[in-house]
Amino acid sequence: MRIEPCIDRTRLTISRDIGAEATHNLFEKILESGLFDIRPDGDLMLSCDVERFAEGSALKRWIRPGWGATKAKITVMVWEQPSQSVLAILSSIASVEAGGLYTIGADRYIIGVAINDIVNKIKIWSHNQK
Amino acid sequence: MKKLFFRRLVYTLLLVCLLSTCSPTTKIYQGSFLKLSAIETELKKGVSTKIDVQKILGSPQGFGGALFPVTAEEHEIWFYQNIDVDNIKSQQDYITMDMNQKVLLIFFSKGLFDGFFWFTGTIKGTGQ
Repeated sequence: MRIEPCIDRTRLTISRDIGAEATHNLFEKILESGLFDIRPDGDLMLSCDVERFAEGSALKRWIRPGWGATKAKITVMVWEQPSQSVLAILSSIASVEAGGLYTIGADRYIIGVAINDIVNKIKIWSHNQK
Repeated sequence: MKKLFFRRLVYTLLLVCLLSTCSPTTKIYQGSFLKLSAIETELKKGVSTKIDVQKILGSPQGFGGALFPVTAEEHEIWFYQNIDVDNIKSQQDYITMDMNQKVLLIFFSKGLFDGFFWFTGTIKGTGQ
């Protein structure tokens, strides 16, 4: 499998490179899953878009649940190469909407949570293909 | 007494500081395609591939197929939608906002980019 770098399409102007963070997470989670080898000439290709991201605020969540939610939406497309056929489009929305100060740092792991969900969906999809 | 005043001042400043970071977001984006103008400059009919389209516009929110009577050739279609909400105001028991919706259809023929169609509309919404 070949993995293309995730593209940040959130239109946010923040100091973090969330495209790079998502790419790093996707590489790690695919490797951890043991589903596929990652090679630049793989027959399968993953493209990845970070479509929404909100850092949110643990303080706001503590004041009122639902306010200051931390969110990430990621979409991954599975392509067959070289035919460029789209085999699957998988999306995941991860969010932390309630909780007190113990949810500080949710913005640091939320992308990983969304990617983890995507990889689980890839596992199910892959299993169904066999 | 002086200590109590100082403590209250600190608490008040802290509260003001916290509330100032809690102002509601006035813009909401839904949808991922960014470069509508890039379609004409970066995509070539009969040449650009689906991956080229994905790189410019992102993953589609839907896809399917259609037969147009004038061409009688089946086209694959990717569907994109952006909704931007701006200027959200809460007044008594209702909310007003400006909504801008863009819908974009990308047509493929034999796996290659074969044209596009988009439309946009801006409406003022009110909710109770």
